Amino acid sequence: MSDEMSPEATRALRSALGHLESQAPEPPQLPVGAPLPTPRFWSKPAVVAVAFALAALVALPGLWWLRSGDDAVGTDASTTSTASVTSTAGTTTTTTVQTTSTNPAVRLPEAGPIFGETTGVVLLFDNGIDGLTALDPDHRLVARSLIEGQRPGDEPFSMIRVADKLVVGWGEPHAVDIASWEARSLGLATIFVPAVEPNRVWLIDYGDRIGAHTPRVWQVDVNTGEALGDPTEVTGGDPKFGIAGGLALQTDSGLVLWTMDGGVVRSLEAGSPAWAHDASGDVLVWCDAYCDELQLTDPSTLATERHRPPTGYDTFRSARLSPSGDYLAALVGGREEHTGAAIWLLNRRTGDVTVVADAETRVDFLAWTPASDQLFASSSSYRRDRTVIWRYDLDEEQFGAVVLPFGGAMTPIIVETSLASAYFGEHLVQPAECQAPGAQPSGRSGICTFAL
Amino acid sequence: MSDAEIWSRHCDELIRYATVLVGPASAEDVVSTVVLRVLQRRTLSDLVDPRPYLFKGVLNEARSVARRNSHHMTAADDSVSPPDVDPEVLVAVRRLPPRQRAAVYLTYWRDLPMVETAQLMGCGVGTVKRYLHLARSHLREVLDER
Repeated sequence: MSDEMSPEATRALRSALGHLESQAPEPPQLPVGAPLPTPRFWSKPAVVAVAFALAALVALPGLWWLRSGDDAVGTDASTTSTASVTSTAGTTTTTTVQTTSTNPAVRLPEAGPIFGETTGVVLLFDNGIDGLTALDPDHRLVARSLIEGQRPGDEPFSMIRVADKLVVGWGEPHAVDIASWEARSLGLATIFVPAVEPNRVWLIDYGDRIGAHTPRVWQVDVNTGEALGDPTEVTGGDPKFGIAGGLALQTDSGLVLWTMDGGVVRSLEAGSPAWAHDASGDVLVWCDAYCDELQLTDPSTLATERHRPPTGYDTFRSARLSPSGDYLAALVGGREEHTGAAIWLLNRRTGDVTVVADAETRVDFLAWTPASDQLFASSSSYRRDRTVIWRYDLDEEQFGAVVLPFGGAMTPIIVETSLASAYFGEHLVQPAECQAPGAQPSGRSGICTFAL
Repeated sequence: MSDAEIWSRHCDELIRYATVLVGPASAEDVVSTVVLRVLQRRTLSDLVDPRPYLFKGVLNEARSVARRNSHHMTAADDSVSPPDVDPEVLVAVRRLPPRQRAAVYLTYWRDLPMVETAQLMGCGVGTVKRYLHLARSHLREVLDER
């Protein structure tokens, strides 16, 4: 379908929208010095009674769980698996489906690593405001701190790892050394996007908000902060992800591949605005607007490998290549945006696919360990009081999950434990003294650390 | 600017936005929930830019309502539409997921530029384009007849 609508179609759509809007009730008043009226669903006696009944149902297993001495923490109760065979593009591959339960009434191990075995890594999360939440699953520690340069916003990438640096922020992106926490400004730019070249990141400057003007792009070295070349205007589309020597740009009909040397060199037609999920030196992972087919394209030859969602799912989201390039993980879900998601894992060497589904909690973020031996996933917990984290051990081929009693944990990045000691203070406080910030800016200073 | 002034300035458009997203029966609850959530922690005047913050909050809350309900609109939306409104188009718009409906409403009814729509939805321009494309695709069957 063309993205242009006929005047008649536009008129019909506007009439429908106008009719919907015309049903708006009178807005409630906000008298000076007085709070807004309580939402009506809280004040209806029948609904309140139902709410009490539901609360009691929820509280009963919770009371059992608290009696066991735990603090709203759970882990997976069981994992089951089945196997089926599917045929894709003439080759036979095996799809294994596992299910996990993250029922919060199940207890976390009382001592030792929260996943039952050591992982050797620390999970760093953007806290959604201006800092990070760090989780050491092996030592059961959680820390929160401010990061210089991080800001709340809606940029496409809030925090990425490049070499031994975190790149954060918008308006003036910063590179933060993971081990020492020293931050360096990378220059004034609206946003950044990942580059496939080592130690580099792309800065994209629109002059104002994303999309407001023709973007100027340049690469910087995250170790030195040095700009590698002059800013260049890009007119072919909106930069979404780095490719070798250039960028994948989103257009209204797909992607175009742009290089610093040759400008727009190739186009990937999709018939709709396309999505670039991830890239390495030899593959770009992308899909069209519907994302019912994930495409792995070699930007130099345009050779493309295509994958469809497993049975029972309609679309892909958030695809992530492992650092080794041997695996691709993605979230799969239903066509409706709020339907549950599962984790889809492709072994690119064998073509085998593993799917892990969790009907109780939606998966939102994926992250690989630097050694590509473990995949982590987490639920969105911005301003919530718990975070679900899944872990898949590729050697054991086993998924596990934990429900942790803290929020403020978005877009995880996995780093080696040896690199991340600076994130944890020696003095432990109570979890209530180390809450996720709710205001912008948070006003937090120093590190607070608590034990699980 | 005081909280009352901020509220007075934005309440009408927030209620209308919420009505389009969740229907008239839930619109007031959605907006009240968003504002109460802000007031639990701070005042409206503490917000650097209240309008996009509140619009994003309404959209997020509308998505929560949609998750709770298997249908997107309440029974009150089954009222008879006026003669100048095509009932098939109306049904198709009501079936759009909240973010697609928000993009269509802000673009085709409010006539906002793409950059402002993105700001109010809390996403990038490319994301708005994607939602519009998906929405037009969903609406194709009824709109292509025009």
